[in-house]
Amino acid sequence: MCGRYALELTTEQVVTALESNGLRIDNVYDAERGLESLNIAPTSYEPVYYKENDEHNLRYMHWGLVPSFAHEVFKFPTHNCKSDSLAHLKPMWRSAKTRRAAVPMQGYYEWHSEGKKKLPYYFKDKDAELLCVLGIWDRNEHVEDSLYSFSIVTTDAGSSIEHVHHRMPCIVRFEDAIEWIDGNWPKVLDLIMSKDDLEFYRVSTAVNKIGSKGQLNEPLKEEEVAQVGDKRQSTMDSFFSPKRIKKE
Amino acid sequence: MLEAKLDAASQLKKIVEAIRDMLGECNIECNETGLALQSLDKSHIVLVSLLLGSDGFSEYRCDRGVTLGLNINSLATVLRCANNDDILTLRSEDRANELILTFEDSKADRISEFNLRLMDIDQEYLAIPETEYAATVVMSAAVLQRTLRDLSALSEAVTIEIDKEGIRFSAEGDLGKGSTHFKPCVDMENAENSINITLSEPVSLSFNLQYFSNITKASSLSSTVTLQMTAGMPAQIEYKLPSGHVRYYFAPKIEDDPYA
Repeated sequence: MCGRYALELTTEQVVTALESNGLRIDNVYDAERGLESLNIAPTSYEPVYYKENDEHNLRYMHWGLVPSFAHEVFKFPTHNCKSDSLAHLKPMWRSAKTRRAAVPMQGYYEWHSEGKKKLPYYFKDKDAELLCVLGIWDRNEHVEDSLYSFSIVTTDAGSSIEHVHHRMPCIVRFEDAIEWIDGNWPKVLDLIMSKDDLEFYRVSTAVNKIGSKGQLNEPLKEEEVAQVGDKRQSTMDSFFSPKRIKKE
Repeated sequence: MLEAKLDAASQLKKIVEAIRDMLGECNIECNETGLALQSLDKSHIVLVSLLLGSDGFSEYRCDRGVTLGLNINSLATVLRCANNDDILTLRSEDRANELILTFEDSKADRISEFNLRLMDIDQEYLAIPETEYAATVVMSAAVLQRTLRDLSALSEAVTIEIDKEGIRFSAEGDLGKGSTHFKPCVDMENAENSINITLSEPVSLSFNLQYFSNITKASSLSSTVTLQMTAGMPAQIEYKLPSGHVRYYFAPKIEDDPYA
């Protein structure tokens, strides 16, 4: 499961970073829909590198795959696609056969279970380089005109990080991402692996809440560690919907 | 118009005292079935729902719907002028801008009358979904109040766990930790001391103790309290009245689910 990641870069910075890693970008689409954030959650629009009509594009797509055959956005989560589901080409993920992508990110978050508590960790490249994560994309014409969406491919976590969380996104070298996008099915499945020489550390549970901002990917200070996992007071507005009645 | 009479002012005094700390200004809706109030506290952690059925009054008349926009603290202040055994009458004409409260002593040789100015309150109401709670506990209202008061010395939060073994209240703070466990039991002599648990699945929720303590001020209204809980949902705490109820919906403390 990879349910939250960080990419706080402008479109120009993303383009520059991808091009410097050898990715050719012919067009950039829907940049205005994008959200630069250290707390990217499913349903936001994020840059995805993909190929369509022989052109290599960077497009801000909806995180959570909406397959071309769907008539509504699924209620179940589609922001991750397990690599073994891809290998068996389950119907949900059949776009993987022709529509593969690379998703740039500065790092991602996973939650480690300690008893009843789930504590967030941030994973990033040891040299703070941009990570290149395998993805699949699709275009849907039923839900809205040309709804582009993507899902992140996940695999078993490597031995050095599996004690924190047992799954991780497939992180590859950028040149392997080009092969993933341009290569032939099913040979590209051989590319599904992940480097696991990542740096990781505990971060604030502030990242648990979708929409929270700030330097969420910074290591937690020692004195803050003890407070991690504390509960937050909820309000009735989260449970019951308001109906406004004005007195006549 | 509304005209409602109670044989003892203490009935309304207790109710208003029980909710005054939580509520500011709110509307009391009156119709032929009785009086009803629904209002959130200022921090939106507790929703108070009060129903006073017309049967609970010795005389009751309300020809058409009347909305009484009131400051609950002002109402409490005026009600303090009534003796507990005074006969209390509430009156409001259609489209009137005041509520008239009359207090008569039983011999009817003293009659006091207070006019409370009504307010036009633009109030937010919440739609309360029908919920099948995972656990329902009926227990002594005084015991619940005492248990929570004891634990509030330790922490600002209490965790309530209900399973087939019983109901457990626990708190942990800088001083240390403490807990009280009650097993289901039946007390034939004093029925209010029985603890009845109905359970479809075990549940555990945490709540702010300051707010809980405000809720248990309603213990003077009923010998028993009904506590209903479902994981991840507000608890429902109900004190039954002779005809109606005071019901609190209480938002729990939660851990954010990163995948929600």
